[in-house]
Amino acid sequence: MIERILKKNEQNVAVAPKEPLYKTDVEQLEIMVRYTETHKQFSDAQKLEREIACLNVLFPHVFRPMYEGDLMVGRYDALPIGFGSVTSVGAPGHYCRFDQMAKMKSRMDEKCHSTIDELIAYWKIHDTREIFYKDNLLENVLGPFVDVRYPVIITARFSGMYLDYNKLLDYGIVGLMNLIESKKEINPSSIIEYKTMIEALKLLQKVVDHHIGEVKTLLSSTLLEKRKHQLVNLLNALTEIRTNRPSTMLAAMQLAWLYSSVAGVVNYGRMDDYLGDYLVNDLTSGRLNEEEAVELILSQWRLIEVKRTNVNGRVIVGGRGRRNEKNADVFCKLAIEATKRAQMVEPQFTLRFYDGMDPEIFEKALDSISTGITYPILYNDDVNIDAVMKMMKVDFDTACNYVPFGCGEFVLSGKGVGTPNVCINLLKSLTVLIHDGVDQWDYQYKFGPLQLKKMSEIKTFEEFLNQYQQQLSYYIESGAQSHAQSYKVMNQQVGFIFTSILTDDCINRGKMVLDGGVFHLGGTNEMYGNINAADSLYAIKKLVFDDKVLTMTQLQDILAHDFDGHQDLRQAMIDLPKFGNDIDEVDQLAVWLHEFTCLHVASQAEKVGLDSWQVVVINNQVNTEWGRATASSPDGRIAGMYMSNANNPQSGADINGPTAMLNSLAKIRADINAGTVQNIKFSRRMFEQERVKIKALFKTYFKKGGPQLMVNIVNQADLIDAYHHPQRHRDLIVRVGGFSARFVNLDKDVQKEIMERTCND
Amino acid sequence: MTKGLIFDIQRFCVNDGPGIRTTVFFKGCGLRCAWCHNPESIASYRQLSYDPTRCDGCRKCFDHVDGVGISMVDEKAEVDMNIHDQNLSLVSVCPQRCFTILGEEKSIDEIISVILKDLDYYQESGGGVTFSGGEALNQWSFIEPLAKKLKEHNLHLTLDISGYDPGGLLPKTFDLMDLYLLDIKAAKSEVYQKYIRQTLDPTVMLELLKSANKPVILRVPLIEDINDDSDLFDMLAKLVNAYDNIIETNLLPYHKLRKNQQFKLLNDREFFTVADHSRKEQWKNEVRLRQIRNVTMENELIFKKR
Repeated sequence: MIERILKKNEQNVAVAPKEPLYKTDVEQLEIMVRYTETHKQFSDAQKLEREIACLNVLFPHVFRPMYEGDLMVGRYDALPIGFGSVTSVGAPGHYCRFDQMAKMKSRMDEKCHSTIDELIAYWKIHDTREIFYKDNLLENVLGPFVDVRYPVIITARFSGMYLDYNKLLDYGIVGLMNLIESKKEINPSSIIEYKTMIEALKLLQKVVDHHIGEVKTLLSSTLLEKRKHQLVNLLNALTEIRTNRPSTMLAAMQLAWLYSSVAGVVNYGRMDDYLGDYLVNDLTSGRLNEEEAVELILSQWRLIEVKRTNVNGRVIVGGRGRRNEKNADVFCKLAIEATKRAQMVEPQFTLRFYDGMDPEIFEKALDSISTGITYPILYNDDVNIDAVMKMMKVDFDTACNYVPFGCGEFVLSGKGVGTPNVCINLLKSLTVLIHDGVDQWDYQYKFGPLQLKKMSEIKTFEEFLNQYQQQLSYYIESGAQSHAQSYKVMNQQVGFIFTSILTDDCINRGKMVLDGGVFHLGGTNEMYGNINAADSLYAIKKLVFDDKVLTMTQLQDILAHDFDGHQDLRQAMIDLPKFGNDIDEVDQLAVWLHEFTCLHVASQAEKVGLDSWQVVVINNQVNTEWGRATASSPDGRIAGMYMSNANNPQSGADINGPTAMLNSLAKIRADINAGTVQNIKFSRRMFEQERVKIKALFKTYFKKGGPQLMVNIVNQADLIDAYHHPQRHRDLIVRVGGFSARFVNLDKDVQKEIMERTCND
Repeated sequence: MTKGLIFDIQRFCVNDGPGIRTTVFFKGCGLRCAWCHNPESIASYRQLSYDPTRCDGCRKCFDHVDGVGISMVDEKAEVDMNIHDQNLSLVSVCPQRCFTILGEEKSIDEIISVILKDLDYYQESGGGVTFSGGEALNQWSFIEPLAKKLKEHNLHLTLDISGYDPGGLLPKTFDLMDLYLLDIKAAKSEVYQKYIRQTLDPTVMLELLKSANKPVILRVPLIEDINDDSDLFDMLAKLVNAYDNIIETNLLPYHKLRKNQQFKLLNDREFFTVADHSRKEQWKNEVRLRQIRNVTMENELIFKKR
């Protein structure tokens, strides 16, 4: 046995440090005690009343004052105890962040300790995820998110909700209240649902009032003329949206933002679709000029950025199916300009494009990318809409509303759930299989009740693949059950009332989103280690079964000892053809693995009562973190080393140039999953000097069926220098996988994985 | 010839003609330019290459040759590549894979199957295939049927030539090639004598190409204080004026090889000074002064007007 030391993972995917909370520890504690006391007053049967009561404890108190230069309001802090949707801002449902509570305790005076301990004790039982974990983990097989010792990790979260902002802006707050009121008669059994929806909207008004008060106070002080003008505009906007529907872009933006804040939603929809008309109206009436519009968008970007969700903060522009394409394109172009200027890691600015879209937009997008900002991320509608139609079984118009959230999972904007509550490590699974169920990372048995053949008995590669399929099927099916269970647990605890109001078809049905309200109840399953697994399968096929260089038993032995004494064989494994070089015999194994996992995952949906359950290959840095606890593999990868990101070749393994790499990627079917992400890296010199040819490269890849592309423009020398001298490169931004980050904020092995990706120069 | 001797097929080449291209590098060259960027291409046979950085001192190669032409120094093998230039048996002896073979014999079908993988990219970008080397002309009898097959796919074909064609093969290529890349190595005969050991007159090739109505891109390696004299720029100006089939001239500043490989004909390469920014600016000024049209350096168009 080899003694393994695992670097501790955070409970959540966290890279960029957040700003310290505005409220003092004492103030936070006071709110959290009240929140907890309020929570205690209700039973689960009163979950909706409880939710509203709890939200009233938080809002508007958790908003912090606006910053100098902000053109809109709505900065708020997620406390260690509170209500949320996603793990990157607070946590889902009623939550307690035990890690933050421990830190708080260590900061605070001893006389507060017993209060903190009582809170922790209460929430150990009532935190939504704790409730879920209590009954759904499976020893050595299903672990909690992100415990990298397990081959499968599960969680209860409500990530990636996109609200129907058009509905919000079309109706306004009072309009929505009236709409809901009108449904009471139609669905008399939903009286509590409707009542709490209206109470939620009243709370939103309270939040608006709070900010009106704040702006009025500011206006009573001495101000420069320009600032005064800005604040007067803001006051007018806030006053308007308190009751009426908005009439300006500022008012529309403000209403959408405050709504997202109270809903705990951290992806912001097709912004050009819902703001384009307001913008064009402002521009034509002279209320705004283009420069002022860009400033306003930048102010919005700053509010998004400060949440530092790392993997969320999506803003989508472009694509088919926007209500007024011409006006939306105007917003789209100015938003690209704002993104280019901002040079911030959030929003995760995303461009959907299609054949026939205004070509100027794509040009502007490449201009922005060339600055090194990594945005926009490019999504190919001509491939993705078909995939969504097929996999979610919806019509073209509905599919046009697909939006990638978080790291890139597709969901139907305003009418779908697609949270990724299960993750599977395909490479770890393979290493467990190779060693007859024992993970050579921690020497635990990870087959559960599964009975598979001993490796020594396997005679053919097909037989081996069959065992792998059986193993993965077991993991997938267990994951599907727990995914469905996560919705049930969340639905027992909360209604996600704010999200429900702006999610089709909750108002009409009189049901909350997870209680039968949502139009499309889907979910996603994140796959990791795909390409290392495919490369490893090829190595097994070649070395064990085709060329008979090794027996399975010898392979077990070599891998169990991390190649010790067998450097020549390790080198032989590394030298074998790898995915990403347009070599069919190895690429086809990646294609096979992708197809098998996608189809088997999809086939579980009906069994567990979901409208869809789909694979996403959209890694963030967990490919590196999970690699840390994955044993040595037949692709020559040593235990603990990072795994490839998503569908991309193992860093540096693609040596035949970008056409070969993209050809390999394009072989992987894009029509049987809910999103994959592809990274490509160019030197600044190459991207600037060969722009025309690189554009042709991208265009061809997209024509060949490429669904998505994330482009990193870096100087390789800068990356290397930043690795050794982080202080010199504070601003360097890179695309990791499903998110962008300042390079120097990443862990060293994540940095290394990125550095070693092939740079086309 | 059923097989060609290739030392590399490189996809996504962006500097060997228009659009996205695949360049096939043929092995074997009649010239010995001291600054050669592709010394792997010089010998016209399969030869051994050695990467000492991978050596872990296991001595297996040393034992294999009984110490002839290999010595162990500081736990690493030192290999006399003049002796072992063609001792390809060493490849399988080394567990660290220090030895590799430069050059591979490939059939037309093998090459075509690689080239056609990027057909969509050529079509989208107006690209195609470039035959380079070494001296590709030397293997024309192999290239000819290959090029014919590629023409069935309407591919744009480019031939990269050194200007040295003792066999007078160039006219045979006119039916198939769309564009030529022609090296201009120096203006002064003493530079030719000292660094290339051949005298070439580029106008011989240019005349032929002009009469065949073939467009040409001149490619000029610039080596500080070796060939970058005013005579060279005068000659370029003269050529570009005299031949309107010269569509472009690429100035290629010398850069040092940074590979770990050792092989025969590499070890006697000379190293020259790598030009700094100010020298490159001087070169640009020489071009502007003479108003030589369509000259680029590192993808920057220096002077456009005719």
